[in-house]
Amino acid sequence: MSEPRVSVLGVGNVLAGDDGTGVALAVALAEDGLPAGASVRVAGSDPLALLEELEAGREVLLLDACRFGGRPGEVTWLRLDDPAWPDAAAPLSLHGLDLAAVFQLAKTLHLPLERAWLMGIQPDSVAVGRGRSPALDDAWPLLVAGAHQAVRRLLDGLAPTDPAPVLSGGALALQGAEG
Amino acid sequence: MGTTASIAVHHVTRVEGHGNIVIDLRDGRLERCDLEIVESPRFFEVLLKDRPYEEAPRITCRICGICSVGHATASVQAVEAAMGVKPGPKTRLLRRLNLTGEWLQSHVLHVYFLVAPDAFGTTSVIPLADTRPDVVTRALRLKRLANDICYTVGGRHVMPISYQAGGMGYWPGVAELEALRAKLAAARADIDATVDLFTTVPWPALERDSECLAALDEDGAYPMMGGPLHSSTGKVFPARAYRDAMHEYLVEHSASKHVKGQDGTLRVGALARVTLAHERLHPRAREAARRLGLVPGTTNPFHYTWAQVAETVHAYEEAVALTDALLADPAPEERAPVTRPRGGDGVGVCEVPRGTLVHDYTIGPNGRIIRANCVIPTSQNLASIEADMRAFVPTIVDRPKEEIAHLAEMLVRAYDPCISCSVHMVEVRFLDEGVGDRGSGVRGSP
Repeated sequence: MSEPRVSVLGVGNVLAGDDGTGVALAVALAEDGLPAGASVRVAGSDPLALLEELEAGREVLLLDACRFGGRPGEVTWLRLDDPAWPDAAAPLSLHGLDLAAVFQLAKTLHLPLERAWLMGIQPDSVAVGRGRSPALDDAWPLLVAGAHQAVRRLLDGLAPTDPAPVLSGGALALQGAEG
Repeated sequence: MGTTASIAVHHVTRVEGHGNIVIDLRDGRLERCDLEIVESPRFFEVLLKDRPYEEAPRITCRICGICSVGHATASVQAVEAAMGVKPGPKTRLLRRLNLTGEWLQSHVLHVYFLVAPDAFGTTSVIPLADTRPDVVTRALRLKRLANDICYTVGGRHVMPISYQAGGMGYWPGVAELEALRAKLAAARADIDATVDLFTTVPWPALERDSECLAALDEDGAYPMMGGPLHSSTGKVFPARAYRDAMHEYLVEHSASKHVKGQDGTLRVGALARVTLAHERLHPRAREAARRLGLVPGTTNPFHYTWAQVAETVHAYEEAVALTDALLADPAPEERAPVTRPRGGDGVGVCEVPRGTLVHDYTIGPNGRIIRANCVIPTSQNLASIEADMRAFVPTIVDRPKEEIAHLAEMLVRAYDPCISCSVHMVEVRFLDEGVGDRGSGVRGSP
C-alpha cells in the first residue's frame, strides 16, 4: 500500500449543525472513493491532524465550516500560509479549537503550510443538533463536486481551484464574522 | 505570618470537561483545596435507555474523543455479557490491538504536549517546538502511528465503528496489516527516544499512599482488556461486583461523582497498573521503567508520567506482537452467536489510558437497553487528586505565588484527567493584599 500524497481532513462537530459540514464532506468523499494517491480522514475536533499530515510530507486539503461573510453554502479557499491567517484563525474557526495555536506550532516547526489549503464553507446555523441547514442541503452536490475537483487538482500538482486562491497579504476579509 | 493566598485555576476545554482548582491559604494554613468539576452532566446513560443493544458501542464511544476505543471496548463487553455472547480469541486480539493504539495516542499526547513543557521549563508546547523541534515532530510521528493503528482496526482514527457483539464488523486485510507493521518497525527509534527524553526529569517530591486499583487480565497479560478488579489492599473483586471495589459519592463542589475504595482514595491509571502489574510489563517496558527511575509501588503521583512512558513502550511492543499474530493468521473470525436472546445484566470492564472503565447494562427481552451505568476513570481519581493537593500545597507555601500555582497545576496534570488539557490558566489572589472576589488579583500563567 503506497502512502498518500494528498490528505483530505474533515474538521468540525457533527453535533453542532452546519459546523459538521467538513466532516460530512469527508465522509461523502470516502463513500464516493478517491483517486489513488489521496486519502481522506475524519479529523473531527483534532487540529493536530493537520500537523501530522504536513510532517508526513503530504499536501493537505482541510474541509471546515468557516464564517467569512458569504452566503450559507458559499465556499472560500485559503492557503494556510496566508499572512492574514493567524489573526483570522480564531474568528474563522467554528468548532471551538485553537487553530491559531496549531498554525503557530506549524510555523515554529517550519512545516510547509504553503502545502495546506482550506475549503471553507459558510454555515447557516451552528446550533446544537444534527443535520445540515436547508441552504447547505441545496448547495451540497456542488460542495461535494468542488471537493472532488480540488483533490484531483492537488494530485495533478495544481492549486485546488482555478484561479488559485490569492494570498491576501494580511487583509483577509472577514465581513460578518462572528466569534 | 505565613502565606495567605487564594489560587484559582480556571479552565475551559472543548472536549474533555470543565474544571477549576481552588486553593485558599491563610497564614500558611490550608483552608480549602478543591478540584471543582463544573462540566454539565452529559446524560449518556439516559441516552442509552431504550436503544437497541447493538448501538451501545457506537453511542458510548462518543463519550470521549481520547478514550473512544476504550468506551467501545467496555460497552461491547457489557453487551456481550448481558446477551451471553463470547467473542473468539482473534476478536479479542484485534480489539486489544486497537487499545494499544489508543494508549499510544493518549500517552504520547499527554507526556509530549502537556507534561514536557513543564518538564523542560517552557510555557507551552509552542516554545518547546522552537527550542526542541525534534521532540515535537517526534510526538507528531508517534501520534500519527497511533492513529494509523486505530484506523486499521476500528475503521476510523477515533470513535471506532467496527465493534459488534460477538465480533468485529470489519477485519483488516493482509496488505493493511503489513503496512501497519512497517510503520511500527519504523517507529522503534522514536519509542526509544521517548524514554531517553524523560530519564532526566526531576519531579517534585510528594509521598502520599493511596489504594491502587486495576482490572487485571485473567490470561496474565498486562491489564488492558479487563478482568477481576485487583486492589493494592489485596482484595480482588469480580468485574460484576465493581460497586464493592469503587464506591461513588457526591461532593458539593463537583458535578462529577467522586469515588473511594476500601478505606479512602483510589488511584487508577498508569501508576496504579504499574504498581499492581509491574511484572506483566513487556521486558523492554520494564527496562524503560528502570532507566526512568520508576519504582513499583511509588507513592509519588508525579511519577504517573514515568508510568505513562513505560506503558508507551509496552503498548508499542504489544502492537508489534499483535500485528504479527494477526499476520500469521489473517483470516477473519466469525461473529459468536447470541446465547441469551432475552438479555440480562452485563458488566464490561477494560483499562483505558487513564484507568479502569466500567460499563454496566441491563438489556430487556426485546434487545433494548433498560438501564446503564458508566464509571469513568477520571472520577475515580478526583478524590486522590484533592488529597494529594492537600498534602502537597502546605509543603510549598513558602514558594513564590506563581510557583505555587504552577506546581499545583503540574500535580493535577500528572493524573492526566480528562480536564488536564485546559489546566493552564491560573489566577492567584493573595488575601492579605486586600483583593476582593475570586477571579481578580494576580494572574500567572505557567
